[in-house]
Amino acid sequence: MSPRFDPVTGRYLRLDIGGRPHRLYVEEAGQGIPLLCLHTAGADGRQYRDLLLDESVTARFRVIAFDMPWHGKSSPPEGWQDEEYRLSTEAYVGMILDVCAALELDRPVVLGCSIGGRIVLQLAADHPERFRGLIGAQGAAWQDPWYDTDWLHRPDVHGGEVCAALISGLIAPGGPAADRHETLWHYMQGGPGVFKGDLWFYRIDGDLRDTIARIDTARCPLWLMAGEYDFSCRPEDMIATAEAIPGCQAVVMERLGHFPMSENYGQFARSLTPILEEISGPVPTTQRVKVNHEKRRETGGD
Amino acid sequence: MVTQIIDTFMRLPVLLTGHPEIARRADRAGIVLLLEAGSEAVRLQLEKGQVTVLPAEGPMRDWDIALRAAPEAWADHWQAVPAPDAFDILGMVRHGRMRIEGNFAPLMRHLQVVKDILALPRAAA
Repeated sequence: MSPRFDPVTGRYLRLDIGGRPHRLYVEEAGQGIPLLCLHTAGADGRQYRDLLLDESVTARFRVIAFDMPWHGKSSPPEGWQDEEYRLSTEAYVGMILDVCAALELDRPVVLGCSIGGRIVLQLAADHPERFRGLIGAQGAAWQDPWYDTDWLHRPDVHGGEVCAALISGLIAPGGPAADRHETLWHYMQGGPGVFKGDLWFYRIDGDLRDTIARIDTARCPLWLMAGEYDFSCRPEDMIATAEAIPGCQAVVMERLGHFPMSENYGQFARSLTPILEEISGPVPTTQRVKVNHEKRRETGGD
Repeated sequence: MVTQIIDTFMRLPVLLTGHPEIARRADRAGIVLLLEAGSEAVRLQLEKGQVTVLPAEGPMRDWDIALRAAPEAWADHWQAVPAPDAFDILGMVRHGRMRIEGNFAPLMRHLQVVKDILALPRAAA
């Protein structure tokens, strides 16, 4: 019996980010238009595991998901032990551009979620010519904080457990139980202070309410999406941003929360597929590949 | 409805006995919650994997942290599939349907297990 590998390739990419050498873990599948996926704060590229396996997408797109430095299998840069990790807007944009250059991507589509959904707004404002399309899931220019990030990294509270417990209510009820708990597991595995460091961008440095005035969707199309159960980036937060950007398209997703691609990909695909078809053009009926969106258990959601 | 909510709080110890996986995760927990539904309240003590309902009225009835909500909000929290404004206790605060006040340290140490215990009536609905 031959080994049963997923049709996904995982490799380490050597590149400089912000002038420092990094060894970045990158997964990819498919061919065609590059689709670069940005994970949420405090997690890693595994959130896109089902998108990487969706043959209806990988038949037309080269889907790429990388772990940001300090996350997943991408270690921090040399000297990390002497610094506090804080993600800034400038560093985040620079990292995305450095990854695109290192992978020699030609005007990729970027799909980001949460902090990744926020940073696409900065990309749209400052670098529209570099991208074919930008999709921000759980993306808004700003939302009010709902907890003190100091709880994420302190000696008297277990960091992994509190990170997962805080975000557990952002996963919609009724989705596949296995995907809920895998999403939580990613948060439990984060390094100390990394989730908090990501939220430096989200809470402190990344207020993009003025930035979005510079966005011209005629230069690069922009979609924003929000799950109805997300009380962090609420649908009304996303819609307020979308309404401030002429030409931006807004999608509110039922039965989804803050992690649509990871908590219930089948449900997410219902909203994502039309966007990807708008970018790539409709798929001829004869070339459609059977989609296995509902492969996961639909029962046992909690 | 207040009486129904208080009665449901009183059933939490029995409901927890049906979920040893939650009790296991609560083994190291120690926290006293004040659970308020409108004008009435009880205290819920979580200690070594067991919960005990204690009166809220009386002298020197201390607690670590209070969760205050209208009876309707608790009832909504216990629907089989709660609405977005009633699914999670922190989300209920964000939606203006609950107030959480007091010492947050024990709550944040045991946040998931507290959430799971308070949601037990949902599974029993």
